[in-house]
Amino acid sequence: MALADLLHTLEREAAGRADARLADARAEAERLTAANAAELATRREQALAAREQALRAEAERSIVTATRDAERTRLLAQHELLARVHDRARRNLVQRAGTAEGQAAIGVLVARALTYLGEAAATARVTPQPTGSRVEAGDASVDVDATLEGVLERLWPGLAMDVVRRAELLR
Amino acid sequence: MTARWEAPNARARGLGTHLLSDEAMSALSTAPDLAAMVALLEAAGIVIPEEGRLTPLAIELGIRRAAANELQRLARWFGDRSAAPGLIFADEDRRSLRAMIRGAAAGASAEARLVGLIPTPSLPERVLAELARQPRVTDVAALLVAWDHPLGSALLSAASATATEPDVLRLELEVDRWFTGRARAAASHGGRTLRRYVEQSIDLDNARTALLLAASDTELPADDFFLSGGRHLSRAAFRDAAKAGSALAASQQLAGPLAAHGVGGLLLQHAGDIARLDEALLRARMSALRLEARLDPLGAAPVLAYVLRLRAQVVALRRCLWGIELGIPPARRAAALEETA
Repeated sequence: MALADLLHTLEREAAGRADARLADARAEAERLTAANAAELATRREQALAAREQALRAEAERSIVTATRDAERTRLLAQHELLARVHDRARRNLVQRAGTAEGQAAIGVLVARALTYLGEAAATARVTPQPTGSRVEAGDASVDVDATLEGVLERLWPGLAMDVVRRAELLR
Repeated sequence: MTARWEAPNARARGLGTHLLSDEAMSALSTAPDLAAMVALLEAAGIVIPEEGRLTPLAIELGIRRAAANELQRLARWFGDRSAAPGLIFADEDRRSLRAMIRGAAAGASAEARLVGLIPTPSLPERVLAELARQPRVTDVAALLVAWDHPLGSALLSAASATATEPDVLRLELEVDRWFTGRARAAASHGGRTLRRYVEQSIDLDNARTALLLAASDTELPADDFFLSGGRHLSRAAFRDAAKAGSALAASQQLAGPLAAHGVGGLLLQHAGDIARLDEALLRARMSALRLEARLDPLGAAPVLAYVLRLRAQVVALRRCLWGIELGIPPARRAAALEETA
């Protein structure tokens, strides 16, 4: 009896230990499986983020390039428009310089130029040009380009802004 | 009813603080370009229209509007029955109408005719712009008739009197006569300073006309051009000066009678250049009125001095604008401003 009991006890204890080890092994297997899944998910997320970032950067580059191209096209068109308007304005001035209105405007320009010469106005040299005159003080202290073309050139930066603004309003 | 000047004088002193300081004018005279000028003007409260913002036309318009606003703010401080605002506005109208007549006769562009003019209730901005577009002097007069301006009929009759081009001098005389009538009526109730101011204006107008007649080869009798109501320049002295044969000879005859106004020397100095003479007379009258304003602060002098200072500011700003437009070096522009300050 004593032997039989002993064997029984030993078998029971052995079965218990076997169950415990099996449970430990299962738990370890589940832990390893879970850890692998987390690792896999992290790696997948990282890969997706990297891919998304690359695509986003590529898209941004495309947008910047397209915007730059559009801006270049717009500036080129603007430049051509301004060149045409400037050329037309200059030709109009040359054509109209000989009319009564043109002559009156030239007279006003020369008179204004003379107001800046002070006492030197009395000996000023007025040299006729196609669209006005050059007015040089007798003492050579100042030389004024009192031509309609000269005025156009000096006022062109402001006029150009107005031309562009009006063109944009018409679009 | 005698005009009361306390309230408008107080307003004129207040508005005087809106005028550009010497520092601001100095900065404007050396502005490198129109953009810098616009920035300086707007910092001083003179708004430039958005349309054509960096062009002389827009800047001119902004300056004109600002001056007109200031004058109208001043006018509101006179009583309803005061003739003084009418006198101030009539003086501006006179300058505007002269510019319209001269511009139409010379075939000047509409923009050139509007330079330096200040709109008033009787000749507002739109009417001035429409007048400036008229091709002939008779069209200017006809539009004034349509606008019901008191000078319209007289100008239309004078402009239509001859088959050829109207005589500009005679038309300007009509304008001066109209102004003189209004000025004398206003002066009769405005106190001693206003009376003296109007008398001086008439003397100076007569002197100006005598210089022009002396330099011209007109056959018209000089007497026709004399305006009554002056103080020191008699009809006989005017007639003699007008027949002197040259502007310089005329100025020598006029300097004596006009020495009492303290402008005899200016007439001699600028006899050959009416535009310069006008500017010099404006400065001389402004200085005299500012002194008078200190001696008699309850009379008309503070208001009149303010009005002349405002006009002088418009002239100076116009000069700055031309300087940039013509590419005059900044140092030369500053020197020109100093000469006229």
